[in-house]
Amino acid sequence: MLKEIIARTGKKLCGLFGVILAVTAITFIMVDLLPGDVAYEIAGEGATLEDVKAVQQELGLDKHVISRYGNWLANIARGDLGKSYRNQEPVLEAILSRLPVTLELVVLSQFFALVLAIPLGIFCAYRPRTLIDNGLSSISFAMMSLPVFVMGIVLIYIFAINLQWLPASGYTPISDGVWANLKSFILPAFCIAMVEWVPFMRVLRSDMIATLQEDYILMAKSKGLPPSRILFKHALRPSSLTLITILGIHIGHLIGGAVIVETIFALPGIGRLLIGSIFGRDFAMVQGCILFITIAYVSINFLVDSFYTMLDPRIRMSRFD
Amino acid sequence: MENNTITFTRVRSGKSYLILFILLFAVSMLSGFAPESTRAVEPNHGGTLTFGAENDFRGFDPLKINALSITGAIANSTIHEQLFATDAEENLIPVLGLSATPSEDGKKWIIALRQGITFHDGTPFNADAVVYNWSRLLNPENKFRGRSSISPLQSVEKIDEFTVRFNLSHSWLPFPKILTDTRAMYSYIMSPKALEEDTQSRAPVGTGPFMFKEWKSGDRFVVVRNPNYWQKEKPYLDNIIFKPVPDHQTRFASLESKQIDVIFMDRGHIIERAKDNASLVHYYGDSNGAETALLNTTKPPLDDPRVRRAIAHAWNQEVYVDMSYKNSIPLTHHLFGNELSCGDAGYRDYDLEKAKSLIEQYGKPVEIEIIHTNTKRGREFGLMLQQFCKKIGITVTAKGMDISPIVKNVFSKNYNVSSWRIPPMTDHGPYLYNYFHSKSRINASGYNNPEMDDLLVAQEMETDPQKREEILCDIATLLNRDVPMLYRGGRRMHIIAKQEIMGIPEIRNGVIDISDAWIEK
Repeated sequence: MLKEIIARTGKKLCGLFGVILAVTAITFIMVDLLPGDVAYEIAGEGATLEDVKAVQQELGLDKHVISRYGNWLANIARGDLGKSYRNQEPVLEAILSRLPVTLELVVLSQFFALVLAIPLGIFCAYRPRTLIDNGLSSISFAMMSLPVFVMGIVLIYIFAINLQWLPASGYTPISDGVWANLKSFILPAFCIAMVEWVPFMRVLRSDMIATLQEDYILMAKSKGLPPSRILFKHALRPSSLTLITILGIHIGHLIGGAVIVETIFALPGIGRLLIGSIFGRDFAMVQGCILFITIAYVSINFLVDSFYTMLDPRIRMSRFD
Repeated sequence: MENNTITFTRVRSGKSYLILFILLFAVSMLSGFAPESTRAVEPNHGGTLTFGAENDFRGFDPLKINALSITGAIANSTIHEQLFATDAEENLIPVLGLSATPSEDGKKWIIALRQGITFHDGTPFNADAVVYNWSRLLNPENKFRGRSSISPLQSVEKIDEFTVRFNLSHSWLPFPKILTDTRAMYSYIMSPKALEEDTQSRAPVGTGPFMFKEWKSGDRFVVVRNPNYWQKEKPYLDNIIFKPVPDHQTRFASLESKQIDVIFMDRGHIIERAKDNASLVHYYGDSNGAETALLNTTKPPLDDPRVRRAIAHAWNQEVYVDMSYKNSIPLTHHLFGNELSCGDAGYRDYDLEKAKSLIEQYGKPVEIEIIHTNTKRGREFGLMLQQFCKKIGITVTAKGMDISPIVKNVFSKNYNVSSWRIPPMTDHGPYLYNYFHSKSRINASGYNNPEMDDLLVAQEMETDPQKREEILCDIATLLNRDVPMLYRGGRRMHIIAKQEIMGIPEIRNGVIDISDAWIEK
């Protein structure tokens, strides 16, 4: 069985490697097709066409896209992600310096979202189609419809300008103090969580309603177990599979996609780095970010997949049938 | 509260500008170095000032980045120094240079350097350092991209340990004032060691009042007090932190919530809110340069001057500046701001009748495409030009783009109308030559007029300030006559600061030097 697990995992990892390769190749070509040329921007307003060509040569932009992709892959194999075309910052250094910001934002926002979603989802499943369930449904859809930038500005207005409890912008590294660091993340994480808790709550509610119809729940009830024990111990785990899947997708998405929140709250995260690099046609940085995000996305989904088997032994068994 | 610090820059007239330079130097040296802003009390030492910038910086090596952004220039001026600066009356004042003496034919300038200064990395500041900086830029192999702005400058030589000679191809009136340009990186002297080791771009080293400490891209750029600064009492602050906060609402909110001490702002509605806030001080200063739109004169229908003139008469700058900028920038009739007295320079006022008549004379349907930035302001420009042109029967398609494709389209002349801007500069002579001389390789509008060519050459060769001013005004008038570009407003820089931040000098040339700021305790 161990041999089979290793073979299965190896096969999966090969597949994931293929996905990473395909994504980087596709994005390389797509970025190349974008109109505009960073060489014009680097050369500046007073530059001649010869200057622009010189910049293109210097950056290797005069070569064919396939040849550039090949060079990029060769450099990656040597652990060299290159330097930003625009500000000469090493790509790996840029990504690693933003990683703690992005990870902390992702972890805190998902934590806040789950703290809201799990109890409310369970409660709504336990008392479906009641006034509270309907009320929470309406509130959740309203929250989901609210654009994240509006939420951000409202939170800044209340907590930063009026109450002056939390900072409106910027990032404080953990080395400057844990509380100062947390303070700089509360508003942006809450801003994301206020939108993200809704799908979590809705899928948990619907899965749990289905679980609560199962025979073994009826058995538990007949044995006189208290509702809290039935809900949290017997019903929550089998009802969490969809929630875990969505959580994995959201985490993967947030690693590169929290750009609006990062911009509003001036957090130096990977999303902002990526978008700024796309606008500036900074190919080296774009490719580095895409590579990192792809690896993160693929790894998270791999972990989520593995997590299923821990949550539900039936899946583990069925895979070896 | 409002502190109006409008700059009036005027080129002096006089018989001999050479004598005037020497006299001004003598006066400047007697009266001290830096222009003192009006201060009621003694400055306090210590503290950290946080500056909210619009964007992150791009680097500090002139071979890698030609021109500085507004906030890039502010950060740069805390670390690096120039040979000379200018005071409020545009007189040269000594900084790293002590005096500038021209030869009789004006083709050579001897510049004496200040002694006893070292760069932040311990490298001595001397003639070798100045020669290294300039030779690096002037060496054709290094392909310095701002070369065309200083084309008359041929070489820089060492005379002795603290004297250098700048050799020019011909007498050039903007020299040595061109060495004071705060947006061009070439005017700053950097550590030869840092340049040689190729670390200057990400870890800049100069002689200025602050030393570079750390740069976390997208997060912070930190400079700390230089304890060995040659002006012993300065600087007053211990640290300055530049924080890029791209969203203007958040930047202002960070100022209101006292997280940030000073911010750069270019949004009219926020500037109005700041004026109403008693705990904030609003500083502003006009400069030369302009918000413009380039018209491609090489492609039909804009190759016909009647169509371009019709668009100029249909374009209502007043309405645009009011709607898009909430009047936070001035109207302009030419690119020289208050620097030159060119009057209205033959500016084509909003006149729909004239515009319609010109289109009638042209006699064909006119359809053009305008490319603009994808920003809110870019879209507003596109839509407004579309609406104005509709009134005279011109069909305009507005197309939003990122900056990079706009620049590419403009330089490859693949456009009809494009949003553009002319940055503030110490002297616009080289810029005008580059953009409007028919033989220039970066004549992005394709404008071709022998009369303009003659004027552009004349302004470069003219040594009489009065006559040169007249030539520059003639150029402005010709630009308004033939319309290779439209004006979308003048340049005005706005800074908003907390009331306790003192020592903010007047804003000049579109840049503010916050090195002398201090915090009232």
